[in-house]
Amino acid sequence: MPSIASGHKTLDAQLPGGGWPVGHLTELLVRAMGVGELRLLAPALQRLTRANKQIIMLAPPQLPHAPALSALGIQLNQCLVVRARRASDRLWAIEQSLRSNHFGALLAWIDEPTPHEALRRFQLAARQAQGPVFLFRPLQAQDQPSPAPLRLALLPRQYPGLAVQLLKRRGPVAAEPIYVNLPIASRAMRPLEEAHALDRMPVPQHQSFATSHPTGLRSTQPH
Amino acid sequence: MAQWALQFTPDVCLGQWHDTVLLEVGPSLRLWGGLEPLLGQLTQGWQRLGWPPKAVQMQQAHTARLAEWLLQSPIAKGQTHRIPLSSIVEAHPHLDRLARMGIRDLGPVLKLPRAGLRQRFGAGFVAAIEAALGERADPRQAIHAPAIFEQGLELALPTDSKGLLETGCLRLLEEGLAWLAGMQAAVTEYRFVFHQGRRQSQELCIGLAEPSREASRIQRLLSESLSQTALTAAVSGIALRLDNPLPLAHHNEELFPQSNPARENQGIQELCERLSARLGQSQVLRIQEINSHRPEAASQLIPWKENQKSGPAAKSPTLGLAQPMASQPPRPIWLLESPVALSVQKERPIYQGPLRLRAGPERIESDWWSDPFARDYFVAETHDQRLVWVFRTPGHDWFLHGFFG
Repeated sequence: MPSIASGHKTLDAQLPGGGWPVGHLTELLVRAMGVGELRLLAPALQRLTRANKQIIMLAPPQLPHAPALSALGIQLNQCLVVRARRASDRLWAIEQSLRSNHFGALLAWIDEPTPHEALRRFQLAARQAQGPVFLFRPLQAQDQPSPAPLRLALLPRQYPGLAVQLLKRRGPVAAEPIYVNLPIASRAMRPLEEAHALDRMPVPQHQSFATSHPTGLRSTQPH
Repeated sequence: MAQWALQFTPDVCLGQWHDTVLLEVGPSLRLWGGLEPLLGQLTQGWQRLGWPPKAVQMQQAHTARLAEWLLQSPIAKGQTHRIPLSSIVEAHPHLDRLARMGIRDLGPVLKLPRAGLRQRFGAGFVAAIEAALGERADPRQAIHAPAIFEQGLELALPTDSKGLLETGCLRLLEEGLAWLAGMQAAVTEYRFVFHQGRRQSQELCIGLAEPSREASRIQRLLSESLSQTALTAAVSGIALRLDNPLPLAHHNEELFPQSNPARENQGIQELCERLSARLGQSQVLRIQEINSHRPEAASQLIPWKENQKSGPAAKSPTLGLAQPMASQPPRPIWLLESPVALSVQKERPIYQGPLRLRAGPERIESDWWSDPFARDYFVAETHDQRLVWVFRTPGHDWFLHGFFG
């Protein structure tokens, strides 16, 4: 099956086709934002935007922060954000986007329980898509059956790890979750030992004079 | 209808008889793929205009005059010699004399010598016959399309039924698209006005990213927009106005449609049009990075149609990595619209449990002459191991500002 490599070797090894499936729904079940759900997709999204493909983000939980996307290597001019307050509008917008099938990747967030019929229609419409289709749904949805051929639960682990549980895929069921490393690219994100040291340090005091740009990321001595 | 016919050929004029339109199609036949396909297009077209099938009749012949005569004479059944003389305008003064000679149809007239006819009945009559037979030139003045399209139609009864309104709009749209086709142009804006009584009216404007006259696309957008419009009163008339015709952007079909950036871009444009027609123009957005110390100001979402700001405020997208990513301070993908105050326990901020600081502090301060603020930002881990962005103010208050998605 055609697929786009996720960029995480341990994950690609377990995905049918060796990457995110193209032309099929991929469900990503998350309890809450901040587990690294977009950092997981970043390598694939970066490659797609570099190839001048469009990324559509439909009904994201917050408006995406431009500097963060750039830091992940995603080109902003290839991104489109669609807001849809009502659930019916969201479902309609997802279907319209799938039917247009001109995107590099479609990322859609659905908070409320979705009727199976709607998911089935999405899966049918996704067949024409030229890129992967990611549906972010709440973790409780894992108990409901879904026509999506690939369903993953994203379970946070201690930084920088993320556990990806393969709830459903073509092929044998995977018992163990796959561990992926999602470091935040920045000198500020210290390795674990130093982080513990930071915890034990007294909370730094403010300096009284104004600086015109953010200070470098070093631990400051208390003043 | 004459204006509408201009999309098929530039040579359109009105006939001698009332309600007759003449089209010279000889030079255009190849474009339309032959006579039959053209006739088919014409038939479909005026049905879209709202004419019932039997209301319009068509007749073709080698010359305009002959075609008109044949049209006026259903008895002739397409045969020239059976055209009754009453269909020929130039014969009207002579009908009595010809009838006394026993001549009622064109056939016998054609057998008579021309010189004699000219002497008896005048040059006009003979000239008309010669023109019909193609022996004489018969120049006509073609009509011209107006510079602006503005057509209206009145509804029999005031209505607020969206179905009826859509039918009316589609009819006007058909005429509008025909005008555009005749002008070899397209527009970016289709402006429908619903007249609701003496001075009241409502406007429905369909905007496109680029000039187009693609019927199905405009119809879809019209449908969506109309369903989202709330009518303030019953509508008694509809008008369509198109101005500023622009050359149509022709998209060349690629030999290999696999990866066609032009087609993909157009596809995305059309999707944006459709989405914004139902959700609203401010709900389909592009992202832009702004040079600003304040995190909330560093990201801007603008409606997809507006041109991106260029200038010192906007940050141009960096192609490739100008700076190694590791030197950038961490920023969360999900930034909250306004920071959320957190309670504090034992000098630790609480968000669904105590937070553990992982990195920082990053001091972000504003210029002292504008709205002053000073924040120490930290990346923290929640009790369930999610990463959040928090800051502390000089007053030792903690706030949650974002999530590292």
